[in-house]
Amino acid sequence: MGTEQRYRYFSYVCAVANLGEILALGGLGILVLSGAALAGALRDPVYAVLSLVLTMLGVAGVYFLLGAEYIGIIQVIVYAGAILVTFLFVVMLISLTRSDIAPLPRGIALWGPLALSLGWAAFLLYGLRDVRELPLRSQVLAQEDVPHFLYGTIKPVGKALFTAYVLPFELLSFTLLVGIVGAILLVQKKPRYVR
Amino acid sequence: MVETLLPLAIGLPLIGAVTLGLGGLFIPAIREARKFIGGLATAFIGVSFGIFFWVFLTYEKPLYVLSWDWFNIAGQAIPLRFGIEPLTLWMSLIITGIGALIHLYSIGYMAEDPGAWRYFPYLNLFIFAMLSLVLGDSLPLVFLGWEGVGLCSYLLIGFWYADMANARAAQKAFIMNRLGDLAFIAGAIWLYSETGTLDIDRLGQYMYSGDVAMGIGLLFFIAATGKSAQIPLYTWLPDAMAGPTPVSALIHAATMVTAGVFLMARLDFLLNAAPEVLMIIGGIGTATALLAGLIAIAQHDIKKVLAYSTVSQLGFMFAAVGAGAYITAIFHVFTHAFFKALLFLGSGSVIHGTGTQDIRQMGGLRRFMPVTGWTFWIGTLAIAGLPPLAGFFSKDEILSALYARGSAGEGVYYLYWGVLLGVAFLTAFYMGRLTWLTFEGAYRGTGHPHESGPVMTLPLIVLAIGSAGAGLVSLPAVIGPSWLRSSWLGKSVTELPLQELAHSTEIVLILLSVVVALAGLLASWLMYGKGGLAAETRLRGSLGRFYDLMAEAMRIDSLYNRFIVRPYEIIADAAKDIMSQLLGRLLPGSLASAVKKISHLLRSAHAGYVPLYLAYLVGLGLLLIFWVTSG
Amino acid sequence: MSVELLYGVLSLSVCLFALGLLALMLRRNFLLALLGVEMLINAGNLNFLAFARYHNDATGAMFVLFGICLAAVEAVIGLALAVRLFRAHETLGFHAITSLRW
Repeated sequence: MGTEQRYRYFSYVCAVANLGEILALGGLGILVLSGAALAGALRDPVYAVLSLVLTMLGVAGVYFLLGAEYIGIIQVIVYAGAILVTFLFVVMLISLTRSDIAPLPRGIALWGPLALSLGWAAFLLYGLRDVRELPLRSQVLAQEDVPHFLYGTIKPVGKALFTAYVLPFELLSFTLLVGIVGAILLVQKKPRYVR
Repeated sequence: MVETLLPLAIGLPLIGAVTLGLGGLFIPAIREARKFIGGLATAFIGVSFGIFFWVFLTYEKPLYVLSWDWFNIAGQAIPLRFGIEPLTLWMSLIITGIGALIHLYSIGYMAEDPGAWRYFPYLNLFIFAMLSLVLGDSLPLVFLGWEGVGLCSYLLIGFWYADMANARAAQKAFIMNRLGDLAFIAGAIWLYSETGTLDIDRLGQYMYSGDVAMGIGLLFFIAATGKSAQIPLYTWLPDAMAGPTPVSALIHAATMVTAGVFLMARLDFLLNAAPEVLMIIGGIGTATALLAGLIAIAQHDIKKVLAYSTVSQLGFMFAAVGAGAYITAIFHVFTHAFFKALLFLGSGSVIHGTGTQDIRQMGGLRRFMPVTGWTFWIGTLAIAGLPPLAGFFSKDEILSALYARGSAGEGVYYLYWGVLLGVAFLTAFYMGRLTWLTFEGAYRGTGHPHESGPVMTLPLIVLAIGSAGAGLVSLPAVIGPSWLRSSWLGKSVTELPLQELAHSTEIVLILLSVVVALAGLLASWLMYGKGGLAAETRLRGSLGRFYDLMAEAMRIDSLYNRFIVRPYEIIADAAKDIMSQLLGRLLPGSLASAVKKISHLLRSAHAGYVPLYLAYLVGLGLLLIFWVTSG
Repeated sequence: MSVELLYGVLSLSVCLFALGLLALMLRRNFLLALLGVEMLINAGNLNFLAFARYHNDATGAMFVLFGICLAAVEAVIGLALAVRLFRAHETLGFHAITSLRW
């Protein structure tokens, strides 16, 4: 099959393979949420960061499930592989140990944030109440006159990056540069003058 | 043509006051140029007088100048304007004419005074306020002037404010005036609610019911008692002698104190509708004249004698008002302005030349200061009512009016007439006493009396001429025409119709006044002209305890003090104590602790604990999103 | 994709968001609180991508891509700040860093 056909088949498959998708989502969801909970609760800083890595991987898995393979890979490489590793670097730089971390609070300092978070979650879930009424994706796609290529794979992403989104792309690289320079400047121990 | 000059005539004194005052305030060099300031100030008033005089010569009908709307509330506007008509123009002439002479005199009198740079602006300001008072056709303008002259009186009485006594005298004058002002405002408000206008011109065209006229009339009369020093608000005037003598001449003799009389004449339409008020006015005027006349006999300060004399003469004017003879009252204002100003300026000359105000230290001064002496005599004879000097004509007219009203049926006016005849005797007597003791006989003092310079003696001469001839503007019916009544003031002032007296009655009355005047002068000559100061002990002896009362001004001041001032001070002190307890202890106590508690409570929101701030962020963010999306 | 999947992914993102808030507010260490921020960003990204998939629109994917990159920048700066804080206060515990106290 050609690329287009393959994609079309994939979307058909996706429209039908509900149960599998739901199970996969469920499993990944458990991974993501448990990783997040552990990241928020564990006392050992290294373990906490590592559980967040699990979460990132779970999220990447969800991206894959949604068909955005390229985005998923980027998630793994950049987020799990770079950002959280940098976290670990800093943990080691300041020699953060288990004993430096205070336990989770008790009393109002616990229930307050808990209530707020639950409030947020409830509010957002309430906002999602009409999502179920939305038409099925296959039907939406049938109406729209769009080419049935997937959006999160490398070809469409690359195309978009160098056409419609070229300006944000360049600005992003500049932002990254600023971030790097800024971080280095912030972390310097002694001011170094250019002679 | 002349209309355009009128605003200049009114505004020039104000301009003078502002420029000379501010100039002196900011430029030290000007403060030294006393004669220059004085000359300039005098010139301003002189120009004003010239313009008014020209208007007088070319007068045809009433003029209204400087008309504008004060403010506009919901369609109701209060228009203001100045009105030139016979009565107001006459008063303006008196004010600026005598005012100019007194300015001139002051150049000499205040030549050595370092505060002279303040003096002339104040004086100019006073002229402006007085002009506003008389020329204002709208009651607010009149009130502006009314208050303004009170202010300038305060400023000038307390001119040498370094001495607390002077400051207190100024305060007393101002506060008493203020009580009258309250009545003025009340009357004005009542008038406005009755008629919806504050223009005197228009107010005069309304019909007033007896009760309303009585109420409003009384209110304005109370205001007049404050300004014109009648019972009960007169005690400030003798104290006001603390100011420079030219001030006493201008303000407390010729102009400000006559504002009350003027007001009565201006509101003739109101008083004509309330005869009971007129009776009250007449009674108070008479009583005041008598009281002041008695007090004047026992005074030994030259200015105090003249002060009580002024109060007494004002009483005469109000008695004339009481008879409904407003033109007569204004006539007496006119003549009195001349001779009283003359007498005061003369006394200023005396004070300047001898350094004392005590007549017991004077004597025989006519030899040393002839001009002052002779002019002072003319003033004395005028005030005594000796024909053909001015005082005779105006005083006689008052007495005739009272007698005529008495014979028209209201017997109480006969009483007024009789009392005032007696006061005329007293007037001649105490003025004679004053003049004999001051200018004749042997010199009892220790200084070197000398005549004043021409700057000061010239006004004296001019005023003496006026005192002599001013009476000719209104002659008694038996003798000749009253130009003042028939051709001038009669056009704008409406007197109550008086019964025509038989010619024989009139002649008898005239003779009586002359006899009384001569008797008073004779008595004073017999006692003081021949006996000198020694006669005073004889007077004291014959009057006994009464003499002490008279010398202490009937102890009215201490009466006021005991029953009015003291209780007020006690209440004020008590209130102060209560408030300081309340505000100093209780309120700060509870308020302070309440504020402390609240601030402690609020402070805990700023613990500096970052997770707390994060919680704020999240919580308020939730609220915000909630609020935005539910809207 | 059936709508149940959309609903499932969105609910997942909500739960991840809530957990991120909890981690952010409950942690008393600056560094570990930053982890909560990462979770929040990821929750948002999930949202974007779910709808991108639903509408078959690359815009959502772009958002996620740029979001990841900016999250990287943000994390780096945040970590640099953490290092500075540590050097200034010898610790990263919030109980000690209270200069904002009134």
